Amino acid sequence: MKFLTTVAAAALILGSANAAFAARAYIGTYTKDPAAARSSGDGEGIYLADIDEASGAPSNLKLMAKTLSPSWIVLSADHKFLYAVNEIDTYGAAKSGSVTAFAVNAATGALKQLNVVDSGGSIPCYVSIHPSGKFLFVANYTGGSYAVIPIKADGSLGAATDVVKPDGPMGVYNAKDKPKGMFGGMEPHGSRGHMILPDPSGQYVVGADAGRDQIFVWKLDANSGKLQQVSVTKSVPGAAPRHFAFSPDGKTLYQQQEQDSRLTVYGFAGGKLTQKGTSISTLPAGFEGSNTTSELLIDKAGKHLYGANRNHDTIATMTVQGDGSVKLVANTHTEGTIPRSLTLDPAGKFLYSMNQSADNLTTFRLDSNGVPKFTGKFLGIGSPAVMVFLP
Amino acid sequence: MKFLRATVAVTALAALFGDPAYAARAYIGTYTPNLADPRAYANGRGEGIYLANVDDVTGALSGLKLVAKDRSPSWFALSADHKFLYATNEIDSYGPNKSGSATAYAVDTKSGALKKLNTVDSGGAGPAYISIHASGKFALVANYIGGSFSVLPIKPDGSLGEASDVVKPGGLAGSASAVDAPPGQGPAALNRPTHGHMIASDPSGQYVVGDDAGRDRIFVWRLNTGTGKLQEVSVTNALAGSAPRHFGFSPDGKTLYQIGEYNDRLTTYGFADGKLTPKGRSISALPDGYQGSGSASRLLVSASGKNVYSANRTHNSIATFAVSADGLATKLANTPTEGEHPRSLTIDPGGKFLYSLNLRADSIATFRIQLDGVPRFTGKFLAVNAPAVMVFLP
Repeated sequence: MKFLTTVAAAALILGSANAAFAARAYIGTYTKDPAAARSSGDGEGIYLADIDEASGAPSNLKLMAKTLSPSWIVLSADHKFLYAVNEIDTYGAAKSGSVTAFAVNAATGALKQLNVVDSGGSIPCYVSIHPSGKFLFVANYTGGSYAVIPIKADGSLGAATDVVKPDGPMGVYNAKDKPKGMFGGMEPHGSRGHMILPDPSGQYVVGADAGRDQIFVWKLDANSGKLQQVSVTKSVPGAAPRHFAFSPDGKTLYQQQEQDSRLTVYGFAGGKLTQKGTSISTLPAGFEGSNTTSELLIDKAGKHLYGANRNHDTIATMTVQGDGSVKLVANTHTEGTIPRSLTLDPAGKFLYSMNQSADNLTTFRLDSNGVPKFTGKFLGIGSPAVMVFLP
Repeated sequence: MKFLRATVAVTALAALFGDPAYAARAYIGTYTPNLADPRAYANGRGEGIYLANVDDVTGALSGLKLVAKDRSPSWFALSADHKFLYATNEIDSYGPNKSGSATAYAVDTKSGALKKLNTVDSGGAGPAYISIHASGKFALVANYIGGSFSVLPIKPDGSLGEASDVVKPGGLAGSASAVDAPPGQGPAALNRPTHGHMIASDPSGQYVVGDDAGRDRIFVWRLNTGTGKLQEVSVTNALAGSAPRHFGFSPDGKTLYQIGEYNDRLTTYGFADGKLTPKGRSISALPDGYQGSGSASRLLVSASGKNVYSANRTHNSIATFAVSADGLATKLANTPTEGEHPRSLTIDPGGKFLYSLNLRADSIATFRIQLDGVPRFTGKFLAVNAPAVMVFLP
């Protein structure tokens, strides 16, 4: 009888699909845009992969939605809807970018397109959701703007309720604290919206402007859908603040800078940022040459930060010290060119690197010091940009 | 007295010959801005040819100086007596035929200064490789975009003459992918024409070998040093879509190691009487289980012939192979290059250090070669914009 029970249990496991693949993740890629002069990548849209919980390895890649360069994606809190930017500059008469809403079939992972709206500027590269669940925030890189897009009751998107397009003196390259030999370009440029995200308290919304080197803090009027400015913090000219991460208590903001490959720690209180200490490099001591950072992640405990270096092609592990300062402890080879972003699995055991120009995704296990160690697992995928777990 | 005399003598000698720690120097060629097409491959923020000091003890590079402004000098050859340096200009805008060019320089061996002698048509657009024929009387050039191999006479004063021969192979278009490419390899261009990627004499000096990375084949010629014409001896078809890019010979000249750019695999050939015979199976230069795009660039053979190195521009690693007594290679390691897009690798004349020219990281990383032949990073970077090639000036 006992033996039979075991058989029944085995049948149950088989019946509920493969138990080793309890987790799944969506992966957004850069694609060709028929209306653009040049291809942005080799992907075809949004894929779903199974994640082996024991090894962390992704497999069984399936194309779930053909859409143009879904380079950043976000899931609604209930996982019923997925929103993707289309990082293009060919949408509509204004040559804008767009955002696409999808309904998620939680059982199969299938995506059903709901609608597409103007993102409020060209080359949108980041999307997040306000804690109310009623608004989407989009950062537009080339358009140099931040947009608020209402989410309707059926999960589809409305027309933007607000588009903030900062003005001011043009941004420059060549930050004074850039690595020796780093060439940051010549042309002056306007604002470049690179990230927009509510703070953990839900009271504020923070936006990084990688063009004019500033960090905005707003409050969202949840009735009008308008952003009201609370503060603006100047970064180092030419540093290009790109991605940031909050400590779990929301009192500290870690800002990664794309063009000088440095991380700055800010205290965050009353909607204002106060720099703490001096910034640190995400590159090894003695580094010379060019590098641009991309993603910044923090683990759930708030102990480790992970920054991606493009050109040095490494993951920088930085640990938070007792006094709140941050120390670079390791640079781990990404095993592929141009890590566009990094993702931690929900359990915090594995880290994934989206190696855009190597057309692969690599899997790392976090060791007891929080340092990622390569598992030897590659997943071939054309021009990966972003990965989000579907719990 | 004896002590004093020795000390004084050594000190004086050091003063005479400069800092003894910097006995070695190296030229570094870079990609320069391609204003017509800033997104073309042959494009960078370098200014021409640089000279760096090389520390004999640590291998570290320093004291970078621009010694010649030139357009995308992406490959070099130094004459056997070190008196002349020849550089390709990897451009497609030379003369009315929109060709590439090659430039000859006289080398001041003391100061390392370069004096430009002349520039000639390379016989095709996008020249990517230049070497000197064993006779010392001809420069051999592979033209990537032009799809040709050319012979440029070297005059007694070191300057270059007009091409005595330009071989432009025809044939069926090359395949866009190789059956043994890594899973997930990104799509290559369709209908590839010939892409001349490398041309060099074999160690015996009797033959000249050329890689066609477009139509996937390896040519062997003899050079008639009277006429300066290449006479075909054999053509070996490499795997379709593999894009044979760079090769290296064993010191005895009996084995040729060939790296395929698109399948990132090393193939070993026996070389006898101007003919290539595959030995064993090709092996991947990438880690086990690799998926994604591969793009091999440089291949080097160590002076002892015991190790073969290749560079990968998507995995950003140096593959080290060990060569066994039968000439076959096995892979030992993949070492991160510490920078993106290693366009080429160079070993110092002492065989102690290996340098990775990381084109898109604008830096050169220095590695020390371990006893087992595997390079280990020394922690030393040298910033230089869009480095493409490095040649030691002994």
